[in-house]
Amino acid sequence: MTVMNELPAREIGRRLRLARENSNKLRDEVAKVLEVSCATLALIEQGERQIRFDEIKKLVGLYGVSVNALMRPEAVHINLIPRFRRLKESQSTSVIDAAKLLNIYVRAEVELENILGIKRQPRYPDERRINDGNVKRLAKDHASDLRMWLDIGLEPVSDIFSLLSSKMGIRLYQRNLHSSISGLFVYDEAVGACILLNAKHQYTRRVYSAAHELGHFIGTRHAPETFEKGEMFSSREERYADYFAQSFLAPEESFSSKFREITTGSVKVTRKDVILLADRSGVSREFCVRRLEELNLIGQGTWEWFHDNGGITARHEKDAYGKKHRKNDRAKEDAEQPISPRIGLMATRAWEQGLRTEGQLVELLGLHRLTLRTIFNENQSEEGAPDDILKFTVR
Amino acid sequence: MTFSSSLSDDSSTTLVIDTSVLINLQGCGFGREIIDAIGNPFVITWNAVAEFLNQEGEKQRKSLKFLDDLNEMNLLEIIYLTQEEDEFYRRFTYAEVNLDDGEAATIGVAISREFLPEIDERSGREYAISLFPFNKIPHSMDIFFHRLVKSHFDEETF
Repeated sequence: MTVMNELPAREIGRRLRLARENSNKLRDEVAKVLEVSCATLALIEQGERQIRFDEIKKLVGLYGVSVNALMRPEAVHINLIPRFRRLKESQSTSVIDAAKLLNIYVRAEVELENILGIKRQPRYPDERRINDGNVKRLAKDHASDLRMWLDIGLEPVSDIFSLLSSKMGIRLYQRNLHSSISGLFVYDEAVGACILLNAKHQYTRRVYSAAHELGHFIGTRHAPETFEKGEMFSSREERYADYFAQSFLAPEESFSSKFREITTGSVKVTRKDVILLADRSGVSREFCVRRLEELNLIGQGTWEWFHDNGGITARHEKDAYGKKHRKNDRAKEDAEQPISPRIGLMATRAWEQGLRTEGQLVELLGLHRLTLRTIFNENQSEEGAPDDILKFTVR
Repeated sequence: MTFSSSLSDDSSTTLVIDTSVLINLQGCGFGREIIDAIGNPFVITWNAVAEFLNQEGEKQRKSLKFLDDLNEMNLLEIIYLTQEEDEFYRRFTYAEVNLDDGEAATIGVAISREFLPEIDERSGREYAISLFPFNKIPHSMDIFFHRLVKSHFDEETF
């Protein structure tokens, strides 16, 4: 149990402002509840006027948070949601819902890391600017430079998710989102780079989304971003991220040579060629064909031809490999759980060590108590629970 | 399972239960019978109730029904913090220690009204021990294994 002192007024003010923004309340609405003027509320949020406890109680009710969550010193108070609200293209509720989910994960992960003494040491490559020059050229050069920096040369990216999270220290989450959303990216000075991918999407589609968000991290780190279905890459930033993803996942030199290797002696590209090339490169078949088209290695419209003529099916896959070829997709399975395994494990450790109570964790993770108890049961260490108290999980 | 309840037979002591205890009473399916068997006055703070009801849909409706039933049968009274208790609540939620809202209110009410707190979380119990003149704070198990509960039910139930 932590013994602590009260927070400085400025920090309380900052937290109150973030809580208000998080709950989407307007200043005049809040001022009315507090029975103060908007100017007084502004002073409170700036830390210029000390807030009284009776006022805090009114505000937590209004904002839907607990007093402890608002005021405990180690609580991480960030609000990534308004940045997405400000994005013109992300006014849909599904984007805001995804941003809320990202906010919960980031806040919980950072607080749990802090109280458990887990030091995250991100190793970020420098941000590259994309203000001047040909955007396609820039994306290609930056992707190539990043490959060198990561020491992967021209090899296929075998696991982009590990590359992002383990090698670079980007906070990466894969959860089930609305189908229209492929991914979200945001960079915050306090918590670093964060990416949320849609686990509902196929593995290879997520690979592409990850590479696309990585492009934003490299080229336009300080602008939040959403990657949505059917999005037209009209802006310079989006076109850059798209070209970056192509060059990073399938560099022209190695992709072309692999294609020639697979198709040696053939006069036309077959479904089997596409299956083998896509799998060896760790990309989707559609991406593979479109990249070949883009590099003028096959005729334009080849993907549409495949599509119009029965597509590339499981039968073709079986023909190519002699059996059904299935890739293990752990993230998809993990996304079915109420919370990511890492956060669930950290929450259990924090509870076992008496650093956080069940009630605090319920609020932090946005879970129901019984769900949290199930997570505790699954993750409990050999030392067991902090005490032998009976905890009912289901009824 | 062998467990000896630390709750005494003094039925005049009011027991103020925290959120987790109420959840366990609901979860075991015999909450009403257990409270009735013990016979002590049971109370819960509104702060703990708010945590208890922080659910959605059917789960929330079931919890509300459970709470309403206990309330209507005079088995559980919901209490609100006084100004004096508010000060404990403030101290325990953030000013002095880091307890969740339900625990902070439960301990605050127990101190101010001389009730016996029933808390499951270790951190809350440890802090409460430092404030009370006894060396053990009861929790859910003490209720479930109370002598009168055991005699009311077949021991094999647990």
